[in-house]
Amino acid sequence: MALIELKNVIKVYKSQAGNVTAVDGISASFEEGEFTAIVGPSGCGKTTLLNAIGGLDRPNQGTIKIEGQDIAALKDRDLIDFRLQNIGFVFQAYNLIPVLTALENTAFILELQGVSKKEREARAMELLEAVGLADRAHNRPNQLSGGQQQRVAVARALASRPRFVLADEPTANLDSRSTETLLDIMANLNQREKTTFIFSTHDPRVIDRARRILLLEDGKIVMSK
Amino acid sequence: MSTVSMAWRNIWRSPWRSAVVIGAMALGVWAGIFMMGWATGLNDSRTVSMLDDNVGHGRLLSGSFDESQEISAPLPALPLFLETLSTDTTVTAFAPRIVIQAMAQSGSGAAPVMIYGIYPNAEQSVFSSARKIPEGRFLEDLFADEVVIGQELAKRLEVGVDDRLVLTFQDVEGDPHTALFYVVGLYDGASNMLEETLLYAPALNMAQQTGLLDSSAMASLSGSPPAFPVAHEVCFRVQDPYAMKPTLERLSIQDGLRLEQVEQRSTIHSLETLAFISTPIVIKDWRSISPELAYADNVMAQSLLLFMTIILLAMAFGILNTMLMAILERTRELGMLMAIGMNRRRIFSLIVLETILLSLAGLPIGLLLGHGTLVLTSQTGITFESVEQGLAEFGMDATIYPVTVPEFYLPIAALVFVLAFLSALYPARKALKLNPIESMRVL
Repeated sequence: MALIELKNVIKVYKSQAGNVTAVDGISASFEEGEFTAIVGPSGCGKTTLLNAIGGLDRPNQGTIKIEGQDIAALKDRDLIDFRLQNIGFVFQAYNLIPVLTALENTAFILELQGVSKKEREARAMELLEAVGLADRAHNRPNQLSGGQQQRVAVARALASRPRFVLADEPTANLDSRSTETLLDIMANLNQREKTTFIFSTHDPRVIDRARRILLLEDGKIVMSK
Repeated sequence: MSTVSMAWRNIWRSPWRSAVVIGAMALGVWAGIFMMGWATGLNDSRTVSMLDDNVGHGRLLSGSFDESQEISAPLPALPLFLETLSTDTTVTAFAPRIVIQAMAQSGSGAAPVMIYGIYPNAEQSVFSSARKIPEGRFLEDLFADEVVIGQELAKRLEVGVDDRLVLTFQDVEGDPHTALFYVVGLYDGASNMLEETLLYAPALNMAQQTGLLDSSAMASLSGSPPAFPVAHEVCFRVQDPYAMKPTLERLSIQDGLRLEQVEQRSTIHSLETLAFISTPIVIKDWRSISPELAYADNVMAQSLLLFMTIILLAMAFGILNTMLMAILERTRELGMLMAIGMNRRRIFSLIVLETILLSLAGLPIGLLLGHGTLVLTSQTGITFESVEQGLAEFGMDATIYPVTVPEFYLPIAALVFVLAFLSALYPARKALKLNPIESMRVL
């Protein structure tokens, strides 16, 4: 059984100009340990597809099964808990909590899960070491560069050992050096911890490193390799 | 990172804005507490003035006199109670009185009055109206045909010092009795109404004329220094009129013991004597003697809390506005928190905690400042020269001494807590209604 299985997923947004079909009948599956990039031009539906897979948005039609469970059928409250327990998120704009240090940001999800302080700090420190930021553990986001913040965001996404990580254009705000560093870290974690990564991107540097690429156009997968 | 710690850090994201809110809360609490202390001081001053003037702190009287105001119902076992009062360390002074309803007549008119048959020194030790004699003098001789009347009654009956006044009243048999008295002084009372209705006459003169003491009893008194042979009531002062419960309890126990003894010895008394001495006494504190003063106290306390609520309510709207701004500024972050799995309960707790912490941060500062100001001004007093005359009419000094009001601090803290919680509900609801995806699109 695939880790994630999409069947005929359709997502339509209503706007003043009329209905806009952002995802148009996509069916796809993702296996455990994949390092997949969803690519395509702006407005092709990459982020909408990621939001649907991440349970942040409900499709109008179709099913999204994660390890056999249809997440579209979950109640809002259960969906929040499902995200907490199973999915790691990395956002384009880092979205760290400004009042928390790098260590606290990384450990935050574990705290939401009710993990003990000792345990979550050990795990957070382990991840900060993995992303090369152990020495910045007690710095707040405004004391870190953009690349460093995104590395903390990756560490946060991985802290709870999620079933998979969704990263929405994670390198969009990074310079090339930071991008390379981040990709190295994610690729390393993917290989070492078998963490499944699914990116949306149009950054060629990310596409080059992906082991699987899904090309979207007008809400449809037009190529998979 | 606990939710409380995170909420506290969130407050200090905009240090100036939070400082302004905390400062405003501290200022509001300070102003409210100072106003409460000042108003309580003003009310206490008025209460104390009234208690000093003619109410006293406590009163003992015969149960039957309390019910009927019958002149023939003096206080039983007077010496016993006087002994109890004189040995009670909390009692600072007492004054036995004979109380008689009468009609006062002069050449110019008549007025219903209440005669207080008093023992001058004792009366002056308890009541300031017996000491404030702007014209003439106070009573001295316990047998003299003299009266001291209020300035207002003097105006009404058009009499002055050395003028004559005819008093008509009933004796203990219920027969009318008329006697001529000389006005030897005018007293300055706390209110015009009291000045118009209360007059002082010597106790033993009144006891003799009403038949409360028969001729043999009177004869036994002549020549010896008069103690307090008869009275309808005994007024007394205590050290602290707001803490006189133990004194009242001791008097009540004393009366219980007395009644037990009366019961044991009942066979040796005549029925008439038995009925007199077996009457329970009534012990009143100033709240029951003058319910309007107690009522004013209660109304004052409630009004002050209402006033404080209004101040804090205005503050609550300020806090609500601040929190709404904070939610608006953090839309993106709240969306992210929801996306990564922070549930509604925790988001709600975070917003409510932030609001409560923001509100409570100013509370101790306001309480400390308010308390400090009251401690200082309770020693120096605040003088209102412009309204000196108006205050004097109520028997009050132009200098008001605010008092500390620690009894209000806990209710104020509770009020701040409740209002903070209520003002958090709307911003928290706003936060809960955010959609994670839309929120994260906000720049």
